[in-house]
Amino acid sequence: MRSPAAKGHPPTAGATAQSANTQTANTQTAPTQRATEQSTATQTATIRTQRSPAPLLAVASLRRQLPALIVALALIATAVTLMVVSAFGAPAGGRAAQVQQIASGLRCPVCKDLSAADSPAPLAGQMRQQIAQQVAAGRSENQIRDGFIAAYGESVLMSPPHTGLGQTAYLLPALLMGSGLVVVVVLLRRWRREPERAEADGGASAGSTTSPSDREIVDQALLRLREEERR
Amino acid sequence: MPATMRLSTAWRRGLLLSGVVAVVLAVAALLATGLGRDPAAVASPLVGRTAPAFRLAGLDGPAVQMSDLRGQVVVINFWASWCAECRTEQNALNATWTRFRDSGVTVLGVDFQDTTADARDYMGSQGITYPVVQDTESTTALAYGLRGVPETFVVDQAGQIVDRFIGPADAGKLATRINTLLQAGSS
Repeated sequence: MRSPAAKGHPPTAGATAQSANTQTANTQTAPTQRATEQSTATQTATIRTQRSPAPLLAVASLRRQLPALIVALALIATAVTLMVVSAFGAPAGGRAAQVQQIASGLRCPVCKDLSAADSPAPLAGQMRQQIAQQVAAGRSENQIRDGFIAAYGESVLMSPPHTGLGQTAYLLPALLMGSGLVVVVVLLRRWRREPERAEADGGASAGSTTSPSDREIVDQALLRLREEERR
Repeated sequence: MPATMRLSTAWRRGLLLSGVVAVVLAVAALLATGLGRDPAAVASPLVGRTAPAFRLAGLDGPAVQMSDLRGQVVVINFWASWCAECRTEQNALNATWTRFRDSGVTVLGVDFQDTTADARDYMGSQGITYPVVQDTESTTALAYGLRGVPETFVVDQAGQIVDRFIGPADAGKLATRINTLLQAGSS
């Protein structure tokens, strides 16, 4: 079949598409040629898509998974930062630094939420002095801390202990974070599925907004109408 | 399907109601336990344990060593001249000392973060006649887990802390505890 272009007429889009493989004639004008090239490119792309849909699908899938990936990366970055800070956060130093470190872990007994290191209260000062004496005497950090716990109980610690009920303070956030992660993953998967489902539902009921029962009523009415017309 | 849904809704409501009832009961139990306690008698890790040892200089008398008081009931009262609440408990402490001083009971005042002159003035004006020592470096205060003044500890004849009272001491409560310890000691 010869194309309209070959006959010297301006080609229509449909005609151009039909004659994509035969349009090499020199008689074509410039816009005609461009349209033809575009059409050829579209066709080639369509053929390519039909032959190998995998790359496009992968891109679409990546786009859908992008929010989940961002959330996962943010959580991993937070976890790594916390681990690094907890492992290397404590600065090394001399005896004064050691006293400061021990005092900062102990609550000033006559203050509200101030450590023995930060409080200006005389009793906190006595605590620092006592800690310094004990450090000089060669007592370990744990021994010094235990001495204060023996007198004041574990409430003297600025952070909860890693044993007994105090463990919940460390386990609960991890548990909540894990639960939150599971919820985020479940929600993201659900949200990802919803457009697909809506698409599928939309495709199935495209062009029809009536329910099956309505359709039945309409069909019956049409039948009655046709019977009346025949009469 | 609607029957299942109805069942599921009823189950959910039941679960929610059980949860609310459980929380209310837990709060009620907590309040009942808390309200039944004496607010002045504070839980301390030291109660039931040997009283920390000390040797402190006397304000107007000889130094006192805790180990020297073994075999007696000891009422250790931490106070200071600048402490307003200490004045309100002074009569109770004086009365306890007067009543039990010949029954094997010692009332010991431990002056906390104070000047000697102010402490002497206070003792004179309040008519204190029981021994008073000075905890100049607060080492004894820290060993006893002091959180402020006034605080009072009751130590039994074996040297164990049996009570800790935060705030002004009460003569009646002290007398009850001392009598119990004295009776237990004599039997």
